[in-house]
Amino acid sequence: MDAVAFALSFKLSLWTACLLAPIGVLVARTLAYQVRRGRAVLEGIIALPLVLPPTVLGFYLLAALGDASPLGAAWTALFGQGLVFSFEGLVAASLIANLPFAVQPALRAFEAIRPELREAAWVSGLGPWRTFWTVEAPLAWPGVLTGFILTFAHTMGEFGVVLMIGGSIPGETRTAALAIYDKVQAFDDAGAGVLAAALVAVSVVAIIAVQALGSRLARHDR
Amino acid sequence: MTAEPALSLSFRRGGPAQVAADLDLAPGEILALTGPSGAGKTTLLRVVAGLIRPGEGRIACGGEIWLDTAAGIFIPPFRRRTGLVFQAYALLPHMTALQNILMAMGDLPREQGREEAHRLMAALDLSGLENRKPANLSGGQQQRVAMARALARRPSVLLLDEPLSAVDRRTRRRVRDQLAALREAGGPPILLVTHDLEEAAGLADRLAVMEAGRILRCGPPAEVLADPQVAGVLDLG
Repeated sequence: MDAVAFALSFKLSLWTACLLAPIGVLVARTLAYQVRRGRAVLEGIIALPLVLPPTVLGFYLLAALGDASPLGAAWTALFGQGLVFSFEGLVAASLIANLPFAVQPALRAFEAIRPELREAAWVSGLGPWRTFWTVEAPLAWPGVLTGFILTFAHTMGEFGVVLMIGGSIPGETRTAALAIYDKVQAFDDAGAGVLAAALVAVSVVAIIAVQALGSRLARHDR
Repeated sequence: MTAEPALSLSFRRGGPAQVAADLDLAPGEILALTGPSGAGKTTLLRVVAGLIRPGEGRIACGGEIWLDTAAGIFIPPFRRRTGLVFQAYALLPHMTALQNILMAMGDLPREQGREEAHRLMAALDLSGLENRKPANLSGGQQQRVAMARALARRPSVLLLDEPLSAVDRRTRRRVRDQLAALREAGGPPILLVTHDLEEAAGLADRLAVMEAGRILRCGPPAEVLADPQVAGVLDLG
């Protein structure tokens, strides 16, 4: 098995899932409790990566993160190396591409908390921060964890966006999905098969975990 | 009634569901709010608790000003000493009965809070149920835990949204006894939403009848219920 490519995918997935978890909580919570007007539009924008062809998303991210863009130029000035064709660039692109996977399950979980439970905490003297830790986090965590797992699993198999932003540099940006493609092109079907099986295993474990968490969330809904 | 009311409220809430009220309550006084569904009874409780912010008004309770729109004052719900018993109890499902009650005692030292919580549970016939979660409590037990949590806040006003509507006879008696004891002790004023006129007449010092977002009549229950206009609103045959 191409352990280097698999390890790179694993590292990219872990970084993306860990960085997106707090962002997902913040965005989901804001949408659930604070946004009154324009919520449908915001949810639509966040869901866009689900329906856009990955190459289209990759193309725009290339424009947004490239050296000619303000963000890309600032990154190069700060770190002496561009975002495009680097691991950091892959992480940045993965964060955008996976936003709906992190936000939507967390959003459903925060929405499912009956409003009077938060109100009961307030009238019991708990401020917003303590209400978050006492009421919201204990009831919404299965949704947040579902988002974490979906983000992780989806990033493990990401192909189009990763190819557009990172190319396929071995050890730097060649992830497992890209390695499978390269191996098939090189008639190494056995090598591609092993990597493909490893990705299937990750996906199966992720789906089982998500379903278990979903039933836990349903129990909390009562 | 004493010269200085324990709770003084006056507010107007605009919008499609307009609600307005002017009320003063003495310490320990029980005022029952009744009226048709949608008359604004629960809204009134929520305004006092700070869960709804009216367009204009003033609320003073326990010597503090909680709302004064003219002066730009709005104290958020977690800084008001209100004990609110929600109609559906709103117990936190992931916490035990004891934890639900302790939640309202975050300002007390830990040991003192636990002692007080156990005392409240004993007073409301909840001893032995400390470690049960709400899903494993009967409706009446949940209602009493909600009541204990409201009292655990050591409230300046107690707000009860139909506390006796869906509980067994024994719980009704327990809660009525508890409210009577609070009144005897000159405790906080109590605003009680109810559809049960018999309960209102037996428990409350005054009865306020609401209709279409305003208080139609407020006074001693017997007088209010004898009013033909009130009888029409409440559909008393």
